[in-house]
Amino acid sequence: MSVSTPSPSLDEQAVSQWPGATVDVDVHVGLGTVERLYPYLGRGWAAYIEATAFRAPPVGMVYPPKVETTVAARWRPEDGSVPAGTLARLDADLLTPRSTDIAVLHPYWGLDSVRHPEVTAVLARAINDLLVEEFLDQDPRLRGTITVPHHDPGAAIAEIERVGGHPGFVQVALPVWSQMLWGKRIWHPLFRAIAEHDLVAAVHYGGMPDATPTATGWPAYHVEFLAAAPQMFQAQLVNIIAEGLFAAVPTLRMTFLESGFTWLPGMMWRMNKEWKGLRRDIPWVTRPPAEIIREHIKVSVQPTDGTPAAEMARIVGWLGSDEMLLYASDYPHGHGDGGTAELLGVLSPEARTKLMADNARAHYRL
Amino acid sequence: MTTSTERPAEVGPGTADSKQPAVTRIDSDCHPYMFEADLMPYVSERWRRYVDRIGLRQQAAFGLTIGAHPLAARTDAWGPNGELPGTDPAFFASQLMDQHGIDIAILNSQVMQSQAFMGPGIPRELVTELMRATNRQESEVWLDADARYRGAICLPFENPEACVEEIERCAADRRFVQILLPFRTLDPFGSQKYWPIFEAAVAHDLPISLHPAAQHVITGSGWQSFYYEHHTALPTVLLPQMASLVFEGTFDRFPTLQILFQEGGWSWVPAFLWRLDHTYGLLREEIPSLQRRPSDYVRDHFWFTTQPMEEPDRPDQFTEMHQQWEEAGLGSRLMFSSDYPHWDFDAPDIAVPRSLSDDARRRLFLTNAATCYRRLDLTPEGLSR
Repeated sequence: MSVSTPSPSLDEQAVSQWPGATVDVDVHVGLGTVERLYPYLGRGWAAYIEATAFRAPPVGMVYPPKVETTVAARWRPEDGSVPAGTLARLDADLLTPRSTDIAVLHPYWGLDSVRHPEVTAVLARAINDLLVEEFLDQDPRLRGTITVPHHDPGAAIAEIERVGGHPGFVQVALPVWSQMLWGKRIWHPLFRAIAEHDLVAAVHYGGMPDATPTATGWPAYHVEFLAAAPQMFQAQLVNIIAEGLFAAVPTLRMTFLESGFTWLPGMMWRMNKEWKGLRRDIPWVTRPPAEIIREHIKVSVQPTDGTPAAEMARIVGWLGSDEMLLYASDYPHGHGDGGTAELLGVLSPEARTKLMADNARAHYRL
Repeated sequence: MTTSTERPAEVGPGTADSKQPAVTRIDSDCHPYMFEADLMPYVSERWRRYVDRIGLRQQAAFGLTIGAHPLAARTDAWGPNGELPGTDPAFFASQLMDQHGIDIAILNSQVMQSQAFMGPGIPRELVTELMRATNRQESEVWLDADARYRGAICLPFENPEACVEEIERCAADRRFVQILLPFRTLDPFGSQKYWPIFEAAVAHDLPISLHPAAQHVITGSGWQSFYYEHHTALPTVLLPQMASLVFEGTFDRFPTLQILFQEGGWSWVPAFLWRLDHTYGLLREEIPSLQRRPSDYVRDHFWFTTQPMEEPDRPDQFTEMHQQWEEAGLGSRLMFSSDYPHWDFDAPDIAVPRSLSDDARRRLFLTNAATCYRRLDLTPEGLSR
């Protein structure tokens, strides 16, 4: 229950001592303020933005600036520079200490909080170009996440078509707290584009749409928001299955990032049970929802909710598959010590290899 | 003490079965339906005229009823003379209580939950009158009809002052044993704006039930598309509600407050307790005055009802899940509910797995409810036969 995580953590020890391959599917790149993107914006847009009040998206609702869960204390640079801001820093903090073979980078910046449609599209391009030039083309261990202008499916598809051919990109980030539920038919062309480019749809914690984050208004405290955050993933999961997204785009692969997974077995049971009673409502769902989920969706393991080791074994058993979980550090977010260590402790040797690398290799076709 | 093999056999719909199970059975969630015509006699002239000339404006969630069963009811819940489901106290008693050996049935009014007249976009005075009318109708038409019925007080929850007045009025009648509110309050339920309701509730030993209702949008990402989706995703509302009640310090302020979550599942709770404690560990500086670990509040202040019964992939996983529930310290917090006359009704002898021990069944049907509902004035021995 300590506020700051000691270094090196239990997880860091467990992962660094792991003898097999390690694929980390959730590594963040910090962008800081918009000046960082100027070299990729073109002079016109850079000059325009420079003259405005905008400096960075307001992400404080999902990432309060000073807390451990936004950036772990040990990963806040002493010189005040942007955490996780450079390849050198990623390497020193994470990739080398944990002997990471492959890391999937995600520069979460909160772009969906920008409403200006042209600026959003331009900023997305700049972020993707920065990621290619400063990271993906610099280090063969790195893979990337495409940032898209989320409010406009047409513009999002155009960006996927522009950069989706780069071999370093393996997924497209979609915020879990989204403008409309991701299973809705209006998004199906976007998911078709993701699948056609052999990319993964990555639903990630965060977002800043028009609505309140819960059905019951604004949580007063961040601890309320964060503890209950799986509810956003649950709503997306049920919608994605009910709408028949995987029937419409059968080759689509999806990852839930930072969703937690201890809630998943119970929700799959409920989805199966309700489907038995109400399947006439959604006849395109021709199999039990849990089967579809196990086939198409994988889940990153960090944060692990402080689950006791013995309970971890139960939860993993109830998932009904050892091919759903993906190792992730969630660097530089700090979710407390442990989680991955406990998970490694209860899995079979074969399942450990799957967790640490093989599931991600298959899912992302690495 | 009975064993599972001695359970009375299930009988066909509509027939009475006089066999009584050995343990007193309390059904903590069933639904009388009250329609506009039933309530208008209890509404003042001013608002009767409004309803006559303007009509009741329904909530947008009714767009989802395209996939729902008519009146959300079992097809055999219409009475012998075509009475609508949940409208005839005698038929209700026969089909639910006589047939399934239910000794006490707690009536959660369907008007409150389904027609959702109490939400936003409705004149406050009208909501207040409709809730009062619901409670009066329940008392005069239902509670007076059968001594086995108990009532739930419906409240205009966004008007806490009026709530307090209505709680005071109803609490004089000991047959009202709980307060019934919809899951989806306009603000997180721990918000201090609702605290006057809590104060009146604890003063009268009334637990507060949060129950699904068809109201405003249910996700942070807008409307769902299907009734299946709405029904399946109901637990999503309860995670933030539980977090709000715990982290706002509600239970430090009201140490005897009791909250029920109904129809929102319960298998998710143990894992959520880990997450509450873990997240609190990371962010406790945000709420330094909280007195206890979050999970401790849940064990002491929350109750859950069974319907729709959890159904893991395999029967042995139900046993594991229930074991986890007990190990989480929640074994005394789960109560049986049937949800009669809804389409997904749980018959006690079918829905409650036979793998549960006699001890667990006794707690489920009797002991826990006897503790939760202090106004039932029941001992753990239940009713004498």
